[in-house]
Amino acid sequence: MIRRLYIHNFRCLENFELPLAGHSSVLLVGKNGSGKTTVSLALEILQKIARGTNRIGALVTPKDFTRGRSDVPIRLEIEMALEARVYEYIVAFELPEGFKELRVLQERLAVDGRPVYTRDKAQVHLARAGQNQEAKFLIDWHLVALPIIQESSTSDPLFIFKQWLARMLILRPVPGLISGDSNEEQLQPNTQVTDFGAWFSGLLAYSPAAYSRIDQYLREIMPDLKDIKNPVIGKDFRSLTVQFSNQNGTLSVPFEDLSDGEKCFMICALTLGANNAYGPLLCFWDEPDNYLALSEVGHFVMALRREFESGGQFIATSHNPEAVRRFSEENTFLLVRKSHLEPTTLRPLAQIVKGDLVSALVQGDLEP
Amino acid sequence: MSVNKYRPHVYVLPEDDANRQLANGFLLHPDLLARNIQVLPEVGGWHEVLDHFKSDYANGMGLRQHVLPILFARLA
Repeated sequence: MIRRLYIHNFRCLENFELPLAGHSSVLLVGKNGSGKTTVSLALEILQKIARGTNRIGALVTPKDFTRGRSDVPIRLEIEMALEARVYEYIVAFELPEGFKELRVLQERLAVDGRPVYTRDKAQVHLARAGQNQEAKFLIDWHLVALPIIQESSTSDPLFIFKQWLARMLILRPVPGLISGDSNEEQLQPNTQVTDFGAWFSGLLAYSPAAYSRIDQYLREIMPDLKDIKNPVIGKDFRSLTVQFSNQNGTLSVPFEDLSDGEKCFMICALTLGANNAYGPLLCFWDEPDNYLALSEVGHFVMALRREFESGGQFIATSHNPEAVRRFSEENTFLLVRKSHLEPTTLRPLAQIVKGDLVSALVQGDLEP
Repeated sequence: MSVNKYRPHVYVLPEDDANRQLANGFLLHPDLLARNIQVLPEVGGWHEVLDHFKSDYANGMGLRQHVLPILFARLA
């Protein structure tokens, strides 16, 4: 569970801290352009690092500096608690004069306050607590160190942290692009979830029991759902079909022919199954209400909130009244940006709204 | 399938935002069939709750039951 996320000089986020400690679910609200999605983009950088992308140019570019202010480093800090341990990871990128690609200014991973490694530009100091192992070495300053430091075992805190970070679900689904085809198995879907088929295959290969959770959720929404098949239709190639049945017969529908909303239900089902099977996970879902019928929005959001209540963390953004109403004062944060030339500020709702939040949002009363 | 008049379900009609938030907390209970419960938008006062109930929901209750949360502290 993330306790603290700090972002500095990244796009519209300056000295921005998201206080997530103690919240199993959080809602970010605010006008268009206020920086809600940018928070997920910052998390995505950390996710990419943990998934193995270490070339700085593939993570951040000079245009990511706030208003082009390249004399100040971009800084990302995350503090999370997992299995009774606290992990802190810091990475800062700078663009010295004459450079075209950013380089690492500082990097640090600590567990329970003890550094696993620290880094100052190219110099890395590896100091694994409890193992009396210390090492100093140089690394290309255009590469992040986290993906290339070898963990000693699957119980190594370095492995646990990287795996947790890599498995974060950062979701901005584009249902029209999701076909249900796959030629691999994996547990780490991309943000648009265009690899849904591979995620489905990976999840069921990892934990076949996850299907019961998926099935249970989907049947509540689609009582005529019979099952989901994922047959091999070519060499290393599968394609999802969804079967529906009632007293009139059975209908088999290729996954790609489901409606956009139905695909979102499928993604939600996999999210619930994934958190159950290989969680606790962090799930950041940008506007989970997109594509859904009004009568479903509240149930959809509450299903996610309820799942992460028992482990993991769910962060949503939304403009939808039905979604907004499913959160409370203490776990709703308002992001405000007075103009494109000013940074995003975060305001806890409990301090500024007395009464109906949705009306206040509609009337624009919350922002100066 | 969400709540509808052809299936047993519960409507929660909150008086105000505090009651809405209480209902949300209740819906997080893992043993609840939360899809059978729909929390409606708050109506802004106890008298409004009664008015809404009578005008919009009292007829054709059928398989529907209502919860009208009352904040007793305010009645004291």
